[in-house]
Amino acid sequence: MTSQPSRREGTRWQADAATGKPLLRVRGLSVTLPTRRGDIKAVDGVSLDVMPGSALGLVGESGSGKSILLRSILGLLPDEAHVEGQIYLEDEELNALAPKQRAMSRGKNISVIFQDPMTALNPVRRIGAQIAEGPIVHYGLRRSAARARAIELLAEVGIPDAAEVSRRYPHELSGGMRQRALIAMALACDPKIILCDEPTTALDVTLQKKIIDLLRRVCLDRGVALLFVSHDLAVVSELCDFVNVMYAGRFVETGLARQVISSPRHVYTWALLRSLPPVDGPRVAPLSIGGLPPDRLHPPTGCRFHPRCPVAQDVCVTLPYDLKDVGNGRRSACIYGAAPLPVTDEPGAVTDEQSGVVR
Amino acid sequence: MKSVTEGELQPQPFADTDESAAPTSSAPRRRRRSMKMTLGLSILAVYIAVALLAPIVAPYNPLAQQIPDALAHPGMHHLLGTDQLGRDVLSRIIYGARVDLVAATAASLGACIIGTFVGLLTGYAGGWLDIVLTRIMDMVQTIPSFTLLLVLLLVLGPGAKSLVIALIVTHWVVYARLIRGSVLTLRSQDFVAAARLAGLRTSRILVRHLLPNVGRQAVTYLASDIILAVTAIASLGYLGIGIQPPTAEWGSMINDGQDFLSSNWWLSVAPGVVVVVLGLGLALVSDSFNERKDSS
Amino acid sequence: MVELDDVRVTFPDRGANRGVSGRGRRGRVVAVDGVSLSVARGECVGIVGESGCGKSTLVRTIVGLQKADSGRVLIEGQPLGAHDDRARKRRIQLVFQDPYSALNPAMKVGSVLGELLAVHRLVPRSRIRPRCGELLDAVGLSADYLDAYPQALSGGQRQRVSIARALALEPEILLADEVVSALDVSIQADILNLLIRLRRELELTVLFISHDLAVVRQLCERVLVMHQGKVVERGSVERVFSDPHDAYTRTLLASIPRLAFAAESPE
Repeated sequence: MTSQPSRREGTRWQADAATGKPLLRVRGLSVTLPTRRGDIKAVDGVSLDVMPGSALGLVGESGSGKSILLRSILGLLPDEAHVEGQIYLEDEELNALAPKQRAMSRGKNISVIFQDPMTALNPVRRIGAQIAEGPIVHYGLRRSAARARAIELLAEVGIPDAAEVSRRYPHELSGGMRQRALIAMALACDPKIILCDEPTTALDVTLQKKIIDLLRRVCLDRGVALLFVSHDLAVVSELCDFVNVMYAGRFVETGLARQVISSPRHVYTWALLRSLPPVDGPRVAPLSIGGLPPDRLHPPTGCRFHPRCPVAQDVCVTLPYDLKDVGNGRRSACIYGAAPLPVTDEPGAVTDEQSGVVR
Repeated sequence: MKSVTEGELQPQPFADTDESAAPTSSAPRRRRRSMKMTLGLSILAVYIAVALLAPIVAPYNPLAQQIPDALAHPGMHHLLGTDQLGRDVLSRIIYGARVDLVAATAASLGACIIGTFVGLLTGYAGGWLDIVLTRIMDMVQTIPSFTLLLVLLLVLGPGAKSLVIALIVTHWVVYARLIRGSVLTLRSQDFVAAARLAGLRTSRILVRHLLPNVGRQAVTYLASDIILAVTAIASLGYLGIGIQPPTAEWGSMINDGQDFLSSNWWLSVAPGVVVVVLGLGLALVSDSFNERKDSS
Repeated sequence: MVELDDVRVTFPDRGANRGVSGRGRRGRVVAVDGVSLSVARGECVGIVGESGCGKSTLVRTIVGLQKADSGRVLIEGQPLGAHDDRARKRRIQLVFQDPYSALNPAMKVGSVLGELLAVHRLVPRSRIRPRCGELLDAVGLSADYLDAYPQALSGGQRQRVSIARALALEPEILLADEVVSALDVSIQADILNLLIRLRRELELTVLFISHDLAVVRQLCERVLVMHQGKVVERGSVERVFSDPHDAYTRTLLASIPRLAFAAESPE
């Protein structure tokens, strides 16, 4: 088993990386949100592990519950939300803590990067001061020391002229610099894990690449774990070691990123992969999954994907949810999970005639 | 490939939003809201009914003076007593509804219509039209409204009609600003651009596309504006400038009853309570109407 | 069919426009800096670029929502006039990016479509509702949705209605401004396939604006790459993807996240 994980290049997590203690453990987490029309189980009995220093990607579409899952780990849900299950950071059970202690533990060990840099930064405080705030509160650093640390961090995230920038206000920075500043802020308290909620979704592609590269480098250098929520499988595949695929509040497949993406074991994962138009290679028409996103008030029985599944069988309508081991450390809730899926790929490249292209 | 067609209309509680934390009303809250609405509407209905059926409901002619019976205490013959000229207080209150309600509603509606029209125009058109009209609105608002009212009444002469006109002139600006603000926000929405691209005429866009969206605000404000108008009419009546005697009007009744507060306090208090309850009814309706819009 | 000749569009600089293209003179921001392009009938051309490159401004200029400072915009050989008659307006339609502001929340879907048909007298009154149903059918929605308000629809469904609205006027040229960007990946595929089919069936000329190169590659034959108000590269989709000449295009292509491991053998 590798001791020094590195992503993308070099060694990767091996399939038997299950040895070693998880940094973050979630067990049986359910989040129920009351709405006008009834209660919705945004997250339904979810369990996950994040190993120290590793990156776990949570992939799912809108309404899958991935953002709510992230927020429940942070304790940032609205009061009306009803939460069940346990969340452990190292050995501490976060749910059991009083809000104040939880906030303390949260600030020190867990950091967050949200999607919109403009709203995550306080517009009336200088960047340096905002970054310095965390260490002052959690480590009792003196202001001057904290400010110096802020400047170091800004430089580490690739901001030129860090000392000058640290005295600016958020609106004086470009979008890319703001996102880097957010990363610096996330690193300020030396967290053990950074939770990311679609941090690059709103960014341009060129900027996205830089931010992803930055995150990867910084987390590897410091051995910080990542919990990366995204709808973008490609980004997750570039950044994360492990992937959990989420649908209608549940995990449908988990495993090493390379396994899940190269040979998915759940039909939804396969459909998701096939709905991406390819950048390289032959121009294959993306697959339309068809159907509608599941009704969260009254989700389909059995496997929640079955109404839209091209190879669903009768048993899928009544099957109890069971994320079972399918070998190599992977898990799938699909009846076909144990072997390659019985789905046929769409016919190869779309001809010009078929797409109506006139040359 | 087997798939559910998109044709089946299914309830979509969260469309495409992941943040499904939208805790809106629960059943008890909804019940409370409809109770409010019912109560408010009932109050208004009573007032309107009384105003319409005044000749039938009122026991006496509100103008009939019976000097020997002046300042009678509430009793069998006169449920709320009589005023200093022997006129039945209850009948005067009932007939007063006609005057106050009609005048206030006319004034508020007039202000609403004119103000909404101006607001739509200035908000959508922008440019010099907006600048000119906004300056006019500024000017009207700079003058203290009561002073303006008095001046207008002086110019127009006393009477209900001039009262209504004067009130319209002072009140339209609020609506105009309200609507203008909403229109400015909506103007940049894509559906407006789409309407323009489709070749729809400006008038059509204003009426069919913008008005339904901003109109609700105007109507909500209308409810409170009617209260304000009633208060204004009553105040002017109290000052002796509005509706002239001997017409029964709540404000002048309150004024007249001042001299007898120690002995016949109900002469002032009864019409006062009537004004307050009307305000309550309007507020209830307006509130519950607003709430319903928010949670829909 | 559509021709732009050295079009230049500037905005007054309000200070908040950092990150938008280059600076012009006298405090004006140049959004579109001398762009020329031409689209032949039946073609599908993609315009790609990142935020602030001017592609959205360009699109709005083409349909006439934005006035160009200089240069000509010709639709079928005729310049865009300020007082186009209705018939001309029908020729070219635009589908917007944001499904949530593209539809009037106070109007039912059927009213939105019906109004256009009525105002332009495209069908006799009795045929309006059936025709609206046909339009919805063409975009894959059932006629039940005619009586729905936009709030009841998902993003993908709203985009379909937006497309139906654009098609109601039977345009020959369709502009699509980032129409799939706000949608989930699986819904994107739906809308893309819908556009491919509609384009074929209705023989539309399409101008497809996107920041997503992979999507453009799927739909278009030719592509223009915009950066800071200028067109930095143009050519067939194959050529640009396989052999980009311009440095910015190369950076753009290199930055697209690619699905790693997809080609690996299954475990």
